[in-house]
Formats: sequence, structure tokens, C-alpha cells
Amino acid sequence: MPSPEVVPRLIRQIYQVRPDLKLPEAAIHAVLFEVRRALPRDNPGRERLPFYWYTHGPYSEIVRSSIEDLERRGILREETKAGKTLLVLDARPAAVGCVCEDELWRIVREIDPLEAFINRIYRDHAPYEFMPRYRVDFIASLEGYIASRPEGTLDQGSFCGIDCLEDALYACEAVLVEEPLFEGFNDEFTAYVSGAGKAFDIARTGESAAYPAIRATCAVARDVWCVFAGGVRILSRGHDDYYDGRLERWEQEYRKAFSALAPKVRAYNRYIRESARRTPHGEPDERTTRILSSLIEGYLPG
Amino acid sequence: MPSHHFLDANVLIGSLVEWDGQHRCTYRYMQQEGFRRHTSKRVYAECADVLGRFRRTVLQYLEYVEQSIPGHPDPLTLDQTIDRLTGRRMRMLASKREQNVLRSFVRRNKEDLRNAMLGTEEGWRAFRRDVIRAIKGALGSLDRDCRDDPFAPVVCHACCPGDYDDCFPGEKSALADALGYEPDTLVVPDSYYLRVSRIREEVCFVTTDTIHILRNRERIEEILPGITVRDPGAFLAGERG
Repeated sequence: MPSPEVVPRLIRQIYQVRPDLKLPEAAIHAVLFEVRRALPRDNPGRERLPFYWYTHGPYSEIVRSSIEDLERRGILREETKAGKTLLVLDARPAAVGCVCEDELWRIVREIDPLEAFINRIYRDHAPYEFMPRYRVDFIASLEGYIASRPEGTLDQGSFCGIDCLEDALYACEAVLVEEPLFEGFNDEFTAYVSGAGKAFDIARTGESAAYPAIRATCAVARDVWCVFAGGVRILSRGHDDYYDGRLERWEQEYRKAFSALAPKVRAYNRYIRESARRTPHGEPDERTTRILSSLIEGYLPG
Repeated sequence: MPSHHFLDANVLIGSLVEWDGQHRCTYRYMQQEGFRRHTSKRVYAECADVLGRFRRTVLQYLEYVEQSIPGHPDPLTLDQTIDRLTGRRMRMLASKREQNVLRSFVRRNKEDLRNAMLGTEEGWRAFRRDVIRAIKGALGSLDRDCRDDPFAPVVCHACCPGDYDDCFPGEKSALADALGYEPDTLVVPDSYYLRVSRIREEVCFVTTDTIHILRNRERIEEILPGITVRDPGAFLAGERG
């Protein structure tokens, strides 16, 4: 069982290094995840900071309850900026020491820019390759693409961005998590990818349907990620042993979220199919025809 | 022969390309005129799922090969390397159908695969993009041909119920006994539902599925009056598929 004092002390120390920090809660989880990784294998502090992978990266219930505790004690407070909730120092904490002071200093100094710091954690430590590819290379890029192009500006000059996004999505499909728990999820993901492929073609036309199609693609991408994140924590590589007692409840939650995903993907695909009616299509060449016929030949029994 | 045909997923998939395989009759059947072709939303969804799974199977395979091959593969032993990696990847696939799809893909595209492995990263990417393009083209073609529109080449009806427990409970249970394959106990009744509620004439269920459907043709026709079952080759004058 984690000691109740160790984690609040680590959080206070983050703000001791940089009292001006305004961090989303996910960043505090990520910093302490890095701190835990830096501890030697036999350090008891490792067990005091159990994590699982969730929607925004590594997550610890111990860190969550420690943040609540620090808020209650008036050390941290929430501040809302541009719709985001950030944790800021409310009262300068008394100097505290910790077992991993040097590491924590190094990590806190390296968290700018925050998005790159979280992305690096996904790339270096996520238990499945699907996670950085989908969360960072696809969703974050798609969100950035939309944010940088206000409605009505998805014109033909945006081809390069669309091509990269589409490539990134197919790269995710190539590394889906091949575990029995994810069989149904993988089928829904593939259905989503087929729809998104058409949405990117609509975007290339630059027609009025382009912007809503890309917005819908992004909204469903987030839903898909939330379901995945609810499932990946159940797998043994997705959580520390401390959370074994939660698995049954997590699995029930995952099944419920998954059953709500299927109709969303179907509705998205219907909408995209309707919007794609007038999308121009290229003629197949010899190689694509051979590829397709080889697949069909394997599919239909001889 | 009835002039209204209900197409099974294998006919729609098989007709996506003109090819020289054993199922070439599906493409030629689709070129034949004089029939009003129908299908259901369920069959359309099955086709889209199948095409998506083709893409996933190949992309996962290409990823696996890319991660497994040495930086500079030996051209003299490349065929053995491909065979070994393909064998390993096939053993990871639970579905026999996906194994067959992958085996056929590697066999028919070996030259391209070999060139991609020996070539540059760009060549490898181009091969991967062609796989994606092939599936995208097939999905687009399916969407264009198969629509809930009376003027579409294949009218895709969206009105069939989700299951037939309330509508045709006796027929569904008799079909389950006869076919022994759950998905077909929904697709075959789709054709019957359309015959009764929309088309109101005899309907021919067209399929290449010998194991579950064609072999049980007489029993299906007995259970579902007004439905006949044929393979597409039956409509090609003077030849069989």
C-alpha cells in the first residue's frame, strides 16, 4: 500500500522546482510516471506510485487522490484557461526533500513544451505501438490540422496534410493490438478506417462537405480512442499489479463503452458515404487490380 | 427464371474485378442484362467488412515483414525469407479465411513484394499505398453500384429487420437447422422479406456459397416459397463458372 505522504510530497516538489507552472492534471501524472521510471528497480518508491494507461497517458489513482488532498489543504488550486483546467500553486510550499530530487529537477525542466513531453512518454513507454501512432501521430495531428484551418479553408492546398493524416491512420491499422479482448474493437477500428479513407477523399475535393466530414472524422477518432484506453488498462501490460482488483469493473465498463461505439461508427460511415457520393474516383491500374484480385481469390473458396 | 435477383456478399465481392480465377463467372454475371438486382444493408455491411479486413490483413503483414527483415536482405535467399515470414504471420492469424487471403496475396504479388524489400523505403511505401488504393477503389465501387436507390445497378434495401425472430420465426429456425451457419440464417431471409414486402414477385438468391447454401438449395426453396437459389454461372449462356 503506498504511503500517503510520499506522492503529495513529490507533487509539491514539482512546484518547488518551478512555482510558476500551470499544469493540466495529466501532466502531473506524466511527470511522476517519469520519476517512477527513474527510480532504481529495488526502490520502494516504485511500488508507491502504481500506474495504468488511460485516456491521457499514464494515470495513477494515488496521484489523483494526492492532488485532491493538496487542493483541500490549499496548496494547489484549479484555474481554467481557454477551456482547459490547470493546476497552479496556491501557497508556496515549504521546502521538501525527496529521494529522487535530481531526477525530478531534470524531468520538470524538460516538460516544455508540454505536448511534446507527453508525446515522448507515449513514444518511449506506451505498452503498444498502436498508442503513439494513434494518439500522437493521428489524433493530435488531426486536431492540429483542424485547429490551423478555420471552417471553409480545407482547400486543395491542404493535400499534403491530408495525405500525411491518411498515411498515419493506415499505419495504426497495421499495428492493432492482437489480443482476444480487442477482437471486436479491431473490427470497429477497421470500419472506421474505411470511412475515414472516404472522408479524406472528400477533404481533397475542397467542397463544402469537406470541413464537416473532417470534423466528424476527428470526433469519432476521439470516441474510438476513449474506448481503446478503457480497454488497454485491462491488459497485463497496461497496468501495475496494484490495480488487479479493478479488472472486473474495468472490463464491464469497457464492454459497455464498446457497445456504444459500434452505432457511432455505423452512423459516421453512413454520413460519410452519403457525403462521398460525388467524390471523383481514379481508375485502377494493373498493380492495384492484381492486388485486389489476389485478395478476392483467397477469400472466395475454390 | 425470376427476373429479380438478390445478391449474396460473395457475388458482390467476386464481381469487383474481372479476373481469371475460378470465380470469374461472378464478374460476367454482373455484365448480363435483364435482371433487377437487389441486396440488403446487411449484405452491403458484410462486403465493406470483408474489404476492410483485406486491407488490415495485408497492412499488418507488411508491417510484420518490414520489422522482421534485415536492413539489406540477401537477394539470393529472399524467397525463402518471404516464405518463412509469411508462414510465421499466417500462424498468428486465427481465421482460416484470413490465412487464405494472405497466402493468395503473397503468391500473386511476390515479384512486387521482392522488389519492395530490395528497394528503397519509398518503393516499400508505394507498394503499401497501392494496397490501400486497391481496397479504397473496391469500397468506392461497392458504394457506387450498391445504393438504396431504385436506379442503382444493385438496389441496396435498408428496410430488412435486424433479425427474424418476430417476422419469420418458423422459417428462421428451419433455416438454422438446414444451413447450420448463423450469418446465413439472416441473409437468406432478407431475400424472402424483400420478396414478401417489396418486390412481390419470385426472387432468385444468387450466391457462390456451395457449402452452406447451394448444397441446401432444395431445402431453402421448400422453406421459403417464392425463393429460388442459383449460382451466378447458371445465368451465363453456354458456360458454367
